[in-house]
Amino acid sequence: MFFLKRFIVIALLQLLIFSFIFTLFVFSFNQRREVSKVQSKALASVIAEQASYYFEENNGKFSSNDFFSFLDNRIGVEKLTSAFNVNPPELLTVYFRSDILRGVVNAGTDINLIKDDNSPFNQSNRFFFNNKYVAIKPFYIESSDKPYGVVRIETSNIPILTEVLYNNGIFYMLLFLILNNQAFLFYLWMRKKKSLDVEIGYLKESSLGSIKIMHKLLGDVIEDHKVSDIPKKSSSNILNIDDKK
Amino acid sequence: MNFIRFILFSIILIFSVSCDTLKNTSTINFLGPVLEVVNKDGKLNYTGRVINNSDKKISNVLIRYVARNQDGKIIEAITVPLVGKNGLEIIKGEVVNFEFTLRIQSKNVYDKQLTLDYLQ
Repeated sequence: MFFLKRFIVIALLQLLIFSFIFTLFVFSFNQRREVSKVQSKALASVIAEQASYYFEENNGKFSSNDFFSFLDNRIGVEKLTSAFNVNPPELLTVYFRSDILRGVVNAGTDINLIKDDNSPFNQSNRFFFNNKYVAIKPFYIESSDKPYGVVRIETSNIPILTEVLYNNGIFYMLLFLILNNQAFLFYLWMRKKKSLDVEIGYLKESSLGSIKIMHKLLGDVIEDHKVSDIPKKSSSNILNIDDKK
Repeated sequence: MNFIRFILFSIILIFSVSCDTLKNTSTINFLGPVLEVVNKDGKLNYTGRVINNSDKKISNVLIRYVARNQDGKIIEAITVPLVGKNGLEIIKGEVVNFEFTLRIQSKNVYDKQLTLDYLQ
């Protein structure tokens, strides 16, 4: 029972330390994810601008290979990736307004081609959180008030998760050790403090017990003396050798 | 007390090993994002590039694409072999273009997974 109690206390303490470290990890992850969101939005704006130029130059005619080459010539496809460092976008999507309105494809937008955050197309729940971020930016041609299409960029949050863990792993490990060390020192301090307290605990009980024992012993001694006085007063038939001498 | 020390040492070891395995050391990668568009037939079309970043040639590079519906079920899976200048072998620093089109309706695709696989 004693060891079980100790084990439960240790387990709870470890859980508390892990919870604290996990909170720090989530905080770092969210910070990094916000940076990635800003990058995705910025890239979507750049691609949308390039899409407007492309469709104006080609009078609305579109070829995926041509557009890819156009982007490469204007921006450089490698730059698109290197700008993101940790989690480059996997997919860069161009959907036309006509296809979206006809229901050929679902872009995760509302009827005004503005991103719908609640659309299942913009979410991917794995590992207990939404690990996909989607940036959507409409693009226009020839000063039209209605968008010609949208640029949709999907980025995965999983690389951020592993990157944060990779960069801060040593810090979390040291924090775990330091917190364990502090918990052990706190335990030692509490134990010492408890043993010195004379007002409570076993010392007080022992002192009272000792006084009671001493009181009883003294009482017995006094009683013995009282009992031993009686035969001296009365005559005795026992002959004392010393008295005879 | 020795047991607790052993547990702590094991945790440290696991942390150290895990951190190393988290670093991406892939030798072949997508060069930039993959472009996804809807073609004239209303099907999803993908265009992209792959680069060999390693110091040696890599053979049998495959692009695997998996499309899932709203329930998470696979509705289409495509494997595209990449062909370089020397056939199925992609030499150091070579960039290979690829393009493929899905057969299913575009509106049914909720989740997409694009991965690279190869044999050294």
